[in-house]
Amino acid sequence: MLNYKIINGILYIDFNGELDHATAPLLRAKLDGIIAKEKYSRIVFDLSCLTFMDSTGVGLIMGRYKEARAQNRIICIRAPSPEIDKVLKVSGIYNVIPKIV
Amino acid sequence: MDNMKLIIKAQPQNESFARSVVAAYAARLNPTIEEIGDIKTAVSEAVTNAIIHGYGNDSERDVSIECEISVDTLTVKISDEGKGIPDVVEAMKDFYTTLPAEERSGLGFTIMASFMNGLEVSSKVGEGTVVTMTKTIGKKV
Repeated sequence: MLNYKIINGILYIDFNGELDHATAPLLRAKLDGIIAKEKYSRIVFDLSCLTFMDSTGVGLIMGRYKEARAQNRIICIRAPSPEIDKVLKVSGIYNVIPKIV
Repeated sequence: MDNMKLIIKAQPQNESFARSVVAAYAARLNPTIEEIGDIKTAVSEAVTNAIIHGYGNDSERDVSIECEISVDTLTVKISDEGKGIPDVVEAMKDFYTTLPAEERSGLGFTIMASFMNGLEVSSKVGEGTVVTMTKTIGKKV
């Protein structure tokens, strides 16, 4: 579901598998546990190994963004597949969360 | 007439199954990877809406998925017999959600409309909702 590492103060969260209404609750719980426990200045959501994501994923990412913003932390998105990138573009999420290379 | 019908229980794990079934059915139209991705995502949104909003996550209720192919066009009809939508026009607005506390983005209908060539929603309070989408292979949305 997800793995993480911290490099130079940046928390990298690697998602894998599918992110939808079925998988979101467990993913959210794991994500919130990691975010609360670790020390970092920035979060990168690496979506390169995510095989599917619908608008449930947008809601999950936006929820984490709001929490990070409240703590003055930055979230970025990296390497979504073309299909998932299309969902993110339609959602307008790139207006608030940058996509990095 | 080339059609199929699938009835699933309103359980979250069936959303992935529904996506896969419709994608497999649509494969005979020789869609591109992008077109299959569009279809799977739109189906996922509609089925999720039926489960969450139509049935309030009552896992014993049925969601019906009917597909038909005519020439180069796939028609997908996703139906529930749940609580229905009081104002369909309002519900289809970007970011409209009745469940903001659950981190629902309110983008389901927006994605369906953006990824498919056609979208019709009919609903009656207390009786259910029917979402009908079309995808013409080779035609840009």
